[in-house]
Amino acid sequence: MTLRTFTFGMIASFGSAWLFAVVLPFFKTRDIKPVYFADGIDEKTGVYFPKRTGQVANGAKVYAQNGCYVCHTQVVRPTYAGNDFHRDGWAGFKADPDRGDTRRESNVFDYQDEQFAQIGVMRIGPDLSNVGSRYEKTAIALNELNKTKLGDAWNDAMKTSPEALMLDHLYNPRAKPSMRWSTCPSVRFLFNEPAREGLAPSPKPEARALVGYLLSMKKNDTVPASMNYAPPKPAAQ
Amino acid sequence: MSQESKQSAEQDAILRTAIDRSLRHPVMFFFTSGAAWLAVSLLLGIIATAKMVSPEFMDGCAWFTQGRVFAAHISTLVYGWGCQAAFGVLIWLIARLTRQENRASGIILAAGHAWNFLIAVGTFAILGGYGTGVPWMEFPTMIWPALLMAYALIAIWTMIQFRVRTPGEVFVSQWFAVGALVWFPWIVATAFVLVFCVGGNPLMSAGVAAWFRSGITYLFFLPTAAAAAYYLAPKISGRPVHSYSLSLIGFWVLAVVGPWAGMQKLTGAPIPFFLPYMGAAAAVLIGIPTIAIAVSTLRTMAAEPGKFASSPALRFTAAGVVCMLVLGISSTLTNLPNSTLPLTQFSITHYGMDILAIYGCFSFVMFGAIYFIVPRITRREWLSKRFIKMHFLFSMYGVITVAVLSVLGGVLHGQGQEDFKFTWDSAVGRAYPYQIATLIAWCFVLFSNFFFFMHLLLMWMRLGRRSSHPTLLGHAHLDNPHGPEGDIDNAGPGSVIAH
Repeated sequence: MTLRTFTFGMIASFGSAWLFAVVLPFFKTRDIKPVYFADGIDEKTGVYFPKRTGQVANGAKVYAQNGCYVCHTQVVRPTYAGNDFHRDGWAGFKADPDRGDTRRESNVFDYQDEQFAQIGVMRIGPDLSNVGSRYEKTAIALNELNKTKLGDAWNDAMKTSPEALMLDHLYNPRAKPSMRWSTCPSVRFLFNEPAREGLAPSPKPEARALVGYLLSMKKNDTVPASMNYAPPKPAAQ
Repeated sequence: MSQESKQSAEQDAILRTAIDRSLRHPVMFFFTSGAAWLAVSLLLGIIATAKMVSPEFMDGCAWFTQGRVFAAHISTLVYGWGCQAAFGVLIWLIARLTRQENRASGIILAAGHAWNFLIAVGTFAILGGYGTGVPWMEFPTMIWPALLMAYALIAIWTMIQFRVRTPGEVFVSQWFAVGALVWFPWIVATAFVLVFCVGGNPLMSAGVAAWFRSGITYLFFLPTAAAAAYYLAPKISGRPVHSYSLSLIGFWVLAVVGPWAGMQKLTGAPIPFFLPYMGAAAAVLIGIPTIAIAVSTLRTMAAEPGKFASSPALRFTAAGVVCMLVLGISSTLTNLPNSTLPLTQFSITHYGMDILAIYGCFSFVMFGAIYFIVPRITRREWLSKRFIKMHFLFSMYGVITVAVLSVLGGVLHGQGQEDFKFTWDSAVGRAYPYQIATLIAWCFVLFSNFFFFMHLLLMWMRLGRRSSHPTLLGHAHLDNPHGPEGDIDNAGPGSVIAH
């Protein structure tokens, strides 16, 4: 093989893949086109404009710096690529009290406000694309339970919030007896140790940002039918 | 032997000695510091795996939190050990194959020091919580341009040597070596610019990062291993490379298929559909070049079966090539869309494949090359065949356990993940026993590499045996199994023909 053949072959073989699988798709997907609700098919009208609240950028940084992506993923694959859709709470809820079946796979808008989509490496822990909704649901259920248990002794100051539950989990992932199996590392270093015995540890700003980021991961909005491969059936009347 | 060939043999020996001497310090520096980073990486790997097995271990310590240690473990393995071993082998190989002394060893040595400094800064940054969070690219952003510059200073002389060589045929080994040297900066620069400099869609940034991981594995580590194997196999066995056309197929299929692989790790994510499928197709087809390379190098070695028993370089190289074969076939079997890809996409198979590629295939061939090269450039022989045997056996045991169990265990782990009728903890529990096995195996590998590092350090300090007989694993042979070029002519250059 001569040098000329070799050089030409190298540039042609690597260059074509480099151009068509990496560079062109990268620049073609830089600007996402807005998606519209279709008249007559969707309940809403106009442009689909998902909102994401919370300290997303700061929290994503804490998430990245502590390597959460090694064990947690952030993608709900369509059913052709895996069974994520059917895992309880991952893709939404099968029987939401208000909206019926809210499950959907990840879409391109789920990663807005982030520099880098933390798709993840391995699933040693559960997928986090809907972790915000899961914690909200748990907090509501816990409050209901305590309300019935305590009866008259209950007042609204006793309400627990998803933030508080998430902070507890980050401080000690194995605190709850049902979570003893977890191998999730504690991020105690993101908390100030309590000044006195008996006081709860107070979260540092990084921990608050991380919680804000995690709770912003929800799949609880209505997406246009054109983006939803399993459009929710209307809740039974 | 006629007078003329005696003359040329003498000149040849003088030239080889001159080449080896010109590269002694940079190559030994890359090997020794690479081995030190390997030990650091293994230690971090042990901590990371121990924390997966028992999360209470070093719990709540910011510097040693699971995610950071794992990132530091992979980064030191890839850039500390992998890249440095590859640089050492590649610059020596090209110098020998183009028959030219290297005239820039001072600059290469300085750039090597810069590389080590950058890896050290990057590793501390990851552990200190300044990582970027991009898998395999966790070093802080400003490290990457500096690493590329250091790489340019290391590789440019080798590229010049290749360019100004006596014109003629390009050897099989050179295709792979030059391929690796060209692909590496191309991949790193592309990924650096697209992920860190140009703001893009976050999902495509993740796609580019996945492509980067696959590119470094299949277009840098794999061709470097192939280059070394294609050099060592004919050299040690004394037979020509088996089937030139098979080698040609191996190289060009790798060059055409390799750059498309990687994005299958994003199957199901909202990126253009063809990207993950192209990635999966390429990852499946990676089997072809690995089989071609492995068959032609193994058949070259098998032409002289007796030498497996005696030559440590050949034994390591052969083991590495077998791992390459296993890697290629596993890549084919674990990336089939709609059947195995959903099981392996997010399971511990991922880690198993990385280790199989870096420690199994790549490092074993590098160990083989190091056992071959170091006596030539230090002009000393290895001190102890027991050290070499220990290194081989414990490494082999370790890599078989880590890679094979993680690849197979990962499929079971993936089945647990897919089985949505069972709770999530049952899926996690399926990976648990394999993590215990991985922990034990890493301990064995660390133990073996302690011997390797000490041995290498002693050789660099020129405390090796002064002998013209290579260190052989079996009983001494009258004829040198390394062929005439295998002799270490300690009596001075050109003494080859004296005996």
